[in-house]
Amino acid sequence: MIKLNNITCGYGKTPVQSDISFDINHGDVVMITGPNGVGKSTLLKVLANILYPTSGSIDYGWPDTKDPRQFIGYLPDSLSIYKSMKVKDLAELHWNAFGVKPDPLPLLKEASIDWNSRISDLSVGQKAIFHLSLILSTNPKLILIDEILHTVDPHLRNLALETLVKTMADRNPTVVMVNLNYNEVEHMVNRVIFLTRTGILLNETTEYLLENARLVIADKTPENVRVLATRVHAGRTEHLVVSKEGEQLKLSHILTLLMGSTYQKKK
Amino acid sequence: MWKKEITDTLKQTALVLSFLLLMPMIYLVNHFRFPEADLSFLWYIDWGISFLISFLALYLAYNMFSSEDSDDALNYIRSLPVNKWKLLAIKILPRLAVTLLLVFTYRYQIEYRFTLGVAGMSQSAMLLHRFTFLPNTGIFLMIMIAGFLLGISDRKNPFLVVALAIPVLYMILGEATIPRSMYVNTYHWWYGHFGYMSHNVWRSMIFLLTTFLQIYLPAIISFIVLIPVFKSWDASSGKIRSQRILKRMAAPLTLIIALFTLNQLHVF
Repeated sequence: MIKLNNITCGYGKTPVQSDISFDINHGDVVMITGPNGVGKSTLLKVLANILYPTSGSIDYGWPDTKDPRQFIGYLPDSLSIYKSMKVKDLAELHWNAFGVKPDPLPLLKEASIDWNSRISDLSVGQKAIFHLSLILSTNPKLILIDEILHTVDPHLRNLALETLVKTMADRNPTVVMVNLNYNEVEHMVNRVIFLTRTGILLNETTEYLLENARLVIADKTPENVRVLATRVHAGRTEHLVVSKEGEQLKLSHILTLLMGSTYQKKK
Repeated sequence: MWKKEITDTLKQTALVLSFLLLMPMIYLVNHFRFPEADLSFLWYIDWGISFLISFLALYLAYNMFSSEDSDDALNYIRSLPVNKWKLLAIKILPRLAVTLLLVFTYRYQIEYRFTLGVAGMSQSAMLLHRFTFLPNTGIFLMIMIAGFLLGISDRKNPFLVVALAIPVLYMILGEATIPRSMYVNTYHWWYGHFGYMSHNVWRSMIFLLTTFLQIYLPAIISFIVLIPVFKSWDASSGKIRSQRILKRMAAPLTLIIALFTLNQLHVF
């Protein structure tokens, strides 16, 4: 189990998130989502061990590991690889750093990426696919993906997601994704963490949400139920509640509701 | 990673050294414009090499992270399971090796020619004298470390460039202009207790020791205080690291400036 204990993180003196804690089971596929600027990418960098929290700690649950980055594959929100290098040279550099020698990347063929081409000559989508295949080639225990697949065209995005699904089935890594298109990843995710400026609003399994999150349309805030969010939409007031009564929702609908709402503090 | 850094270093070195090709042109222009100077072509080559070696060290240091900057790949290398100290070595050693190879070749032949011309010098003293330029190599190491620190923080911050340049400049100027009062005093102390110091070896040893204490140590301290900044190097903004570097260097830089000023005023 990966345990985040009382993490406070940010880039300067003002923290982006303060004192947040949650656990991720090995093999879980977690989606961290929330409005812009709440620190989703920052939290992912902390998980990737490339940004140190100002306080708190992470226990990856990998005993005898000196450097957790050895088992982490991190795909950031912008293309941060050496674009001036050739595909084969960067792959060699990457594998040397991880001390592995995998077979040449199978995903490249499907994305029509030439082994000898310069990375700067690839399309944005191809670059993202190449970075993803680099990450998957080192057999990580924890895969972190930050929004980048938004920039990829539908064909390559499907290819990337299919590969991810296959990797999950074959190797069972833990996957943490930030804010991907809900419809596309709905079937993959088994836990959702919804972040707001004040912390974690929601940290539930998708199973729990699908069973218990209901839409209630009422002017007054429903009583005796946990209200997750409230919004005014098309002239009516919608409440997302944890209840057995009300309209049952798809995960993407739940997340869309949360995104455009004012939030109730977690009780 | 070694391969990439070695390739980058060789490319950058070739670029800088290609300026030597301008030497015949400079020689010809000066030869016809100032014939009274009567300087040989070899003199121009000598001057060109000495100038280009210093420029090369600065160029290599400043451009240590140029590919990471242009490709926005700094976070990528941080995501690799490579220890920070190893990363420091990977970045610095190829550049330092190329610079020192050129410095050693150039300076050794100068010192060699000089010692051949000094009469009555013992073999050991001659050998030691030929290597008295070795402490200068510390300057090149400092230049590379400064380049590394600039690279992981903010290369475009002029205050940071100046702050990191001061200890290096102090070492260079210290070599050239600061009166080595400590050396002279030590020599006088030795002379008072043990009489005439006949052996050039001892003289050279004292020279090295006093140079280290008076010039190198303050400069080294101003870089040692930056170890915590290096250790906490993460994906946070380089501007934040720049501020931390400037804050930490404030006291040692004040000491260096004070030492330099007091030396100039012959207080010691």
